[in-house]
Order: sequence, then structure tokens, then C-alpha cells
Amino acid sequence: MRTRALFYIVLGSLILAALLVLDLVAHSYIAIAGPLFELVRAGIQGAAMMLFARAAGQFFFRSSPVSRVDELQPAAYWPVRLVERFAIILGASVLLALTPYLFTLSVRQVQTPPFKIEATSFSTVISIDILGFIWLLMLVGILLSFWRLIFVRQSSRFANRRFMAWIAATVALSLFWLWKSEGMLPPGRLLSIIHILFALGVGFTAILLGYRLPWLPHATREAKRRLLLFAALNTVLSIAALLAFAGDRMAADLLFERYALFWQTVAVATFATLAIYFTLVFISTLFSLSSTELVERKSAEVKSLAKLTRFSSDILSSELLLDLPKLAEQITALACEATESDCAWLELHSNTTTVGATTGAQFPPQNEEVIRSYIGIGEQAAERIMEEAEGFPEAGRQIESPRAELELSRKAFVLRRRISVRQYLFPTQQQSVENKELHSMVAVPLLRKDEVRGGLYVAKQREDGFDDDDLTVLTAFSDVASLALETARLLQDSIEKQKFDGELRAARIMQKSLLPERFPAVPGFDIYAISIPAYDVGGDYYDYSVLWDGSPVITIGDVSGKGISASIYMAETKGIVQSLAPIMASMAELLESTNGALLRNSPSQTSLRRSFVTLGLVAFGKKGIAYCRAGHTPLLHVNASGSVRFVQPRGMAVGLMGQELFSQAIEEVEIEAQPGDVLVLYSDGITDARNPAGEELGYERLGRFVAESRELRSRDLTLKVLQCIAEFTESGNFGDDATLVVMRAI
Amino acid sequence: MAIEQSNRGRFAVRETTPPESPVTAIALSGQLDAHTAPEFERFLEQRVRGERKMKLILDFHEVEYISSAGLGVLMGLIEEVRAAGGDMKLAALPDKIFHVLDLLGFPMVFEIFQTTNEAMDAFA
Repeated sequence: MRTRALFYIVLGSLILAALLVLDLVAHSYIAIAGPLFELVRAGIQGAAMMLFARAAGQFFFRSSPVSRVDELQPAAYWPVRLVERFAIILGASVLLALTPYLFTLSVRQVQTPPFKIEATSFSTVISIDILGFIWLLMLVGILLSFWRLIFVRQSSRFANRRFMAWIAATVALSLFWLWKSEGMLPPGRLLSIIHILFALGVGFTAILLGYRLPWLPHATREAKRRLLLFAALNTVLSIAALLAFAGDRMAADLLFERYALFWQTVAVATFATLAIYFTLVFISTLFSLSSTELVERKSAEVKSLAKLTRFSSDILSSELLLDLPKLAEQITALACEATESDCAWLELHSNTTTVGATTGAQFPPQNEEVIRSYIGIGEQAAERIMEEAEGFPEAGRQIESPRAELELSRKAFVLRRRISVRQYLFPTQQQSVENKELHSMVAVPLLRKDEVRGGLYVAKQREDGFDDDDLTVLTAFSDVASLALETARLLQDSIEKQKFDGELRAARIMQKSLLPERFPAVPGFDIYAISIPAYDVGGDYYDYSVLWDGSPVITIGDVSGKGISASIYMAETKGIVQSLAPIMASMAELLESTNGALLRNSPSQTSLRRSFVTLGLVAFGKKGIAYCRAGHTPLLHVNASGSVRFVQPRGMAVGLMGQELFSQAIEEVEIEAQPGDVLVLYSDGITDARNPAGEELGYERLGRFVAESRELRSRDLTLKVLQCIAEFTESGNFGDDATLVVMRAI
Repeated sequence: MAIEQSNRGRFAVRETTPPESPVTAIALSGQLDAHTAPEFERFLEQRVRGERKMKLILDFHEVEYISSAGLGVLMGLIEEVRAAGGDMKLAALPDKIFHVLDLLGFPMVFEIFQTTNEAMDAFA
């Protein structure tokens, strides 16, 4: 790009250098003059100017074909900047008009037409050509800038037409002047009239160019102030330049006429045009000042709409959708900003769907969730306004509560006058705005499938701060916002649900692996166990471990509570018992140590978190079988003849009390078991199972079921008992974790 | 049966302290389970932490069911009450409720009385 521009400049300079040679030959030695010669000169100079223009186009007037929303603001200022730039170039022109006075030029005035000066030395010719060169550059700059200004925000077809008309008028005037100056045309009244007509033609086309200024309304108030200043300055500078180049006594006029007669006329016509143009700009700006506010508002609206639209497309693919509260905050902020309000707030109700049974189900969170976001206003104040229309005495007669009104009408509405929310406003923000009052507000419903789920509110301290356009914009915005919020909520739900399901599956697998698949052989016993959690994971467990002296111990455990928290506590308990057993001499000792360990690990003293575990242990020692009970249900003992008894040693649940009390409570009881006897450990989920009449299964029925099947192998016995229980409950549903461990003496 | 179901389980807790009595009597009724335990806990905490009432009698006469969560509430506050020189006594336990508490070893922790009046006398 740069090289090409440089190439143009060098080429243009070469052309002008060739002209210099021609000048040196022509004007100092052989005076060739005449319209044809001048026309050729003008053509050569025009070609050079064209090249300079292209170079300048590469350097200064390159603009990106793409403009973005963020650039809208500078774009509105752009024509104003062009006008400002004109002051520089016009100022430079005026200064250039004075430069001939810096040179000592030896010239003489030719007294016959075309009344031009003639250089009398080489150095003067060179000086004149160099000055002329600079002037041509300047003219290129002026014409280019003017051209740019004409095309700003115009349909290029119309602008082109007007500009072409102006160029035609100017060229016509210049040609006429050239011919006249060269003395080709006889002087006379007709000629003067034609001259004036051509000049009027330029003036008229100039007015056409300045008549319509499409970019002016877009300028802000500040920009218009600058415009006024610079338009006036440019007018003055244009007139000054006009005088400097057209005044008969001015050196600039004389020299430039000598160097480029045609272009000098063009320059003069251009300065006159610019004077007219900038006068028109000045006047138009002056008259459009009063409408600025309206325009500014409209442009702000357009901008906010653009922003809102961009926002809506942005959020559908952004991380905001994963963060519901932040999304709500963003929406509130945008609404506040877009309407230039002093405060805004949002309220959104979303009740998550209930999954699973109500009792003890952990997922999902059941309660209705309300998302709120406040900007520039406190929760209290917003609540008062929504609930009581506080501070809207006039509106209060028609609208009792904005919140209820939204739900009722499902349409946005404006409250235009008088609210005062003195001390409630801005409770956390800076003190200075604390006493401001709200005088107008807009409420927009957030809908989900025609159902009002909440509202978006914006309020201003100004009376009549909102008009119907704000209502339209906000309503459009609220549609998008509702959709985004709803999407975010659904997304959040499904992600949590998915995550939860995944974790639950993992927990279930893990917990299942915590239970022994098969018991190691205990001499003389046939053992089978089963555990059925009420939900995906449970708080019951059974296990096998070995004490210090090598006696096998069967453990059954029941953690208070159900579900995940219980299952975690259960895993912890199992781990403790499992690891302590091999270094414990007795079951009582094992339970005491377990109690101590669990109490130490107990997370908090908050009563509801205070979980406890009941444990039932059966040890198959060398001296015999014993049962030890830490708060667990009594051991069921059915002997071979079918008599049933429940063995209930003293005991206390693990995790309730300190060591001293616990140790006093624990007791081991020996069990005499003959071959054919059945010992059953069970959790209270079994005995508490209810039939549809609400009756509990109870000890007696359990004992009977076991007694009736006492001759079966332990596995079949277990399944048979479960079947009996299922028949009793008629649903097979325990409502609690249920565990059975059947030990049959053989 | 449906009616019975709906009447059952409605948990309620109310203060029945006689006038001028230094001991706070509280009567419970219905099902004290995982859902109603938080309500019970708030009520008890308000008495103990809010009103600093450390001599409490809980009357279980009309309680139909108590789950581990309900028992957790009792366990959660007993140490605090005792540390403040007070006590929490249980009265009028239905057989079934007593059986549950007995299995868990609660009689070792709480004093249990046949009636609220007996418990009142024990405080005196």
C-alpha cells in the first residue's frame, strides 16, 4: 500500500518536474502563451493532482468497510471531525497565500492580455513552480476532503449527481475564465453576463451541496457546539483564502495565475463554494440545536436496542446461561442501562419439579426458588414499591400493587408520576443519593408460556422519565430475558439432575461393594444376608470381621436417617468397625472404641446433624456364641422346635453419649444355639414395615415367619421371610432400609 | 382409613407450662419424623437458647411415632441444657415410643416419668 502511494507521489512529482523544465524553456526564453498551451498545462497538472489524490487516498482516507456497534459513537462524530480537519487545511491555504512574500521574485507584468506576470530569472521560475506544486497539493487535499464530506451518510447516487453538477459548473467557469484571460474572447457586456451566470451556477450547485446535511441530526449536543465553532471558523477561513487567491493585488493570485490559470480558477471557485457550504452548515447547526435532545434520545434507543439484541444472541451461547443469578444480574443491569434508569430490579419465581417420594428424598430441592437482583435500590424499597405501589399516591388508586397488576394484566405498564422512597433507596450505596426520590417507573412481566413468573422493573428520579418507546423496548427485551432465564433454569436443573444421577449410580455401586458378597465359612453355621435400601443408597449394612482372638463377628448396622448422608455415615462406621475389630478382645470393647471414634468424628453439635448408629454384633467365640447390642433391635432366636425368643441385652446406640455412659450401657449376652436353631439379625425397617391398614409387622409376626420356615437353608429362609413380609405389606415396599441376616446352626 | 391417615402424622408442639412454674412443660403430638423434626428443633432451641429456659419437661403422651431425626433433636440439646444447670425430662411415653427409646439406650441418658406432674415433682 505504502509503496504504491509513494509510486504515485514520485510519478506526480516527475510530471510536475517535467512541467518545470517546460516552464524554464517557455517562459524565460520563448514566451509561448495561449489557451491551448494553458489547457495542456492544466491537463498535465490535473494528471499530477490525480496521482497525488490517489496517494492521499491510500494514506489518509482509507476506511474499514466494516463498522461495529462499539464504533457507532465515533461514527457519529466523524463528519464533525472532517469539518474540524477542514479548519487546518483552510488555515494552511491562507498561510500558503502569504508565502510568495517570503521570496524575492523578479517578475514583470505583461501589459497585454492575458495580463500575466513573466518571470525574468531561472530562480524565479523555479520558486514559482515549487510554490505552485505545494498549492496543487493543497488543492488536492481540499477537494478530497470536500468530496468526503459530501458523501457522508448520503445515498451515493444523489451525492454523486450533486457533486458532478458542481464540478461541471466549476470546470465551465474555469474554462470560460481561461479563455477570457487569454484574451480569446472579446470583452463586452454579454461576456460579463455569461461570467456572472457561470459564477451563479457554481454558487447554486454549492448551495445544493450544503442544502442537505444528513449527518447533522446525528451529532450530539457537544458535537454541534463544536460544529458551530468550526463552521464559522471555516467560513471565515474560506473567505480569507478566496480573497487571497482571487484578489487582483495579491501575490498569490498573480503567481498562481501564472503557474496554473485553470486550477487557480477552480481553487477560487472551491473556496467560494466552501464559504457557502460552511455558512449553510453553521445555519443548519444553529437551527437543529433545539432538536438535538430528541435525536440523542433516539440514537440512545437505537444503541440500547442494538445492545439488547446483541445481548440476546450472545447469552444463548455463553457461560451466562450456566449461572442463573449472574444472568439475572446482567439482565437487570442491561435494562437499567438501556433505559438510562436510576435503578432497576428483577424478580423471578421458578419452582423446580418434584422428583421422587416426598419423604427423605434428597433431590431435587423442592421449594420454590426466587431469583432476585437489585441495582441502585435496596430489597426493602423494591419490595414496598412492588407490593404497595408505595409513593405512587395517584397510581395507587388504579393500581394497588404493581406486582399483582403484572400478574393480572400480564402487560407492561408505566407509572409516570410521584413516588417517594426516601430512606429506602440505595441503602448500601453512597450517601449522596440516599435522599433521592423516584418519580416514574416501568414494570414489565417476565412470562413463561403465558404465565407470569416475575417482573422486571426500572425506575427514574425524573417525572415522566419513560415514554411509550421505552415500554416497547423493554417488552421486547423482557421476552428475550424470560427465554434466557428459563433456558438457564432448565439447564441448571438438568445439569444438577444429571450430575446427581451419575453420582448416585456411583454411590450405589460403591455401597454394594461395601457389603460382603459371601460370608466366609463360620464353622457350624450357614449364613445368608440381604440388604434392601429404601432409596438408591441406604444407611443399613452388614459385615463380617474377626476379633483379636480369631473369633468371627457378624455385624448389622443401621444409621439414623436415610439416603446419601446416611450411606456416608454408614461407610464411615463400617470402616471403623472393620479396622478396630482385629485389635479388640471383645465385642463390648469394639463397640466402645467405635463409639469413641464416631463421637470424635461427629461433624457438628447441631442437633439435627447429630446422627447415631445402632449396631448388633454376633460373635462366634471359642467358648460359644454371644450377642452384643449398641441400640440395635433384639436378636431373634428360633430354636429347632419352633419356639421364638428375642434376646435384648442392655445397650446404647453408638454416637449418642460419651464413653463412660456408653460403657455402662453395653452388655454381652451368651446364646445357646443347638443345630437347627436359627439366629436372625434385622434392622427396624423389617419390623416397622406396615400393611395398608397402617399396622406394623412387629416382632411377633417376624418371629412367626422365621419359625414357619426354620427348616429351610439360610438363603431360602431369608427369601421366604421376605416373601412373607411382602405379602403382609401388599406392596413389597418397606419405606425404610431393610436388612436381614440369617444364621442357621447346622 | 384415608381420614385416619390424614389425621395421623400432624405434628404439633405447644407449651403447657402452668402459671408461675419455673419448669417449662411442652406437649408433643403426632409424628415426629425427619419432616417435622426441624419444627420441633426450632421450638426447643427458642426455649433453650432464646428464652434461656433450662428446666424442660417433654410430654410424649400424644406422640404416635418418633424417628431418629426426632431423637437427634433431643440428643442435640441435652448436653447444652445440662451444662447450664438444667435438665430435660421425658414424660408419659406411650409403650411403643418407650420401646424405641429403650432399645437405643435413652433411659440411661434421660429421666423418664409416667406423667408430667411426676416430672415436675422431680424438678422441685
